[in-house]
Amino acid sequence: MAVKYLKLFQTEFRNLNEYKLDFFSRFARLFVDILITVMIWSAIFAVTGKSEIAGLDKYYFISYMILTRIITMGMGSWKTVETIEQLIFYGDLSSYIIKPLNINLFIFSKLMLHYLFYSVFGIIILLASLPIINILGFSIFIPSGIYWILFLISLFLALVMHMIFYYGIGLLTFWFGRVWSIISGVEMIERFFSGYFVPITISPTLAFISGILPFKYMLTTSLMIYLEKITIISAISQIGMQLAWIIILYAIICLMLKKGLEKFDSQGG
Amino acid sequence: MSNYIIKHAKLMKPYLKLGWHTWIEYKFNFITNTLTYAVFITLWLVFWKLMIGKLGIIGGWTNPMLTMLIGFSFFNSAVWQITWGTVMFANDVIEGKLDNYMVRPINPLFAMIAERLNLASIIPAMFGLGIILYTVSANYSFEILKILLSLAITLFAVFIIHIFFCLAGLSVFWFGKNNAFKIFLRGFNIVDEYPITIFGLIAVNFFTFVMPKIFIGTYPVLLLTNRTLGWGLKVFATELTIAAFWAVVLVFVWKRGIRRYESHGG
Repeated sequence: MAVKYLKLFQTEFRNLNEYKLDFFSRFARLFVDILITVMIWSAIFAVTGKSEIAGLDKYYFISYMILTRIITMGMGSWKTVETIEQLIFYGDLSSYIIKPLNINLFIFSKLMLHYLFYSVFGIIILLASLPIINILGFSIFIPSGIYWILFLISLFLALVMHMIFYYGIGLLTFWFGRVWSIISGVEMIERFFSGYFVPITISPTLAFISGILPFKYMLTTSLMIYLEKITIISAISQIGMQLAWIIILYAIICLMLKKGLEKFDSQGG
Repeated sequence: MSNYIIKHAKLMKPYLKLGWHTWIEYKFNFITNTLTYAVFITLWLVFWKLMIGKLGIIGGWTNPMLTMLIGFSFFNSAVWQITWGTVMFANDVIEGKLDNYMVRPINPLFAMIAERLNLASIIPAMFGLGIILYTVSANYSFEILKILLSLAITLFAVFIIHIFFCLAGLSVFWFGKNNAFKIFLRGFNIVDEYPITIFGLIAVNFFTFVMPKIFIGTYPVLLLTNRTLGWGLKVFATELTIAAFWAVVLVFVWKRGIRRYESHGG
């Protein structure tokens, strides 16, 4: 059975590789994104004369911001929602329902490659370009052994959580028709409360609100583990929270899919 | 030349009618698009409020200035969305639809934008404009000439962005179907909500002459807050020169690219 989903994984890899120019442009964009982010925050540290922002000194802060750009490159909210929206809106879902496939696993296999590939490849590129970064006068924090392992586990769970969340947004197509127009707004809220723009520790209120929402566990948790800003026990507990959120979100999408399929109708075969 | 302009001005009427019908047809998208802008604007205002609260004045930029910057950024973005047609340029070429524009005695770029007018973004544009006008009247002297000039600067920035998207679209003549240049261009959007003058001189020059993002919000805000009208006119003249330069580049690339165009059918 696993072989079946692995085949889907391989097909998606071929699709990913189809438009090479687009593929490389994503990394070119990442480079621009990182460069501008470093420039912005270096300038803010310089003009305000602050030694730390949100509890992180410049060295940790810049490392944090660079990592946010790399990790979120793989978080394909648009790709996820559009995939689900097209399956439902154009009725393509019917051809998968009748096959002996677990629909959730099928879609996860299609999407997970994008999530894993860009995030992991981005981190590999970062590590490979460390000497160049050092020559340019910057340095990035690199965690020690155990934190690396915890970070990778947490990153994987964050990616799964993100995918399931946007899968749920895509499932709203059952009730609202096209939903692409809400992606930007939802993504903005998700990024704001996940610590993409600035670490959520900048404000106790922001940290509190983020703590009760799932978004913190999609980014901040992994980054704080990477930066060794939390203890190993606390990191394990945060990973536990990620797992709990995955179970909750998965239960919600299963329910949505069940209710949605009751409403679903497609013509032809 | 004047006939040419009058003809295009007259054509705007049916295009606006078409845009209006599209607007009322997709009500859900209109509502969600408006809400999306409201979310974006609110969260960016909260972001700068938090930053100012923690860090104080940032390189001479106060909270009202940053509020106005957000107003300009989203006014600019909404106006760009109203005239978003240039993004579809590459698709028109790939699908051989360019003939639709070229066989008619109208400017292809005008037709491309006018046929796809997204009037739903007028409301978000009003949000942005409202923030600018309210912040100016509450914190600074309300000088109508300065306001008009600052809006002209940000509107010409929209024009320059369109030129860039057209150039990105023209890449299909050489590289075939791709989104690469559009993806790359969007990478620079990140600076729109930040005051560019806090960066070093190299970055300021880059965002003035190469990727002219500074005209979107940074210069218009400076004009409304602590610069003279004369300074604003100099900035506007610089922007016009840059726009003219990129327009010439666009015409040159268009002429080279169109030789490679092949259409299918009629």
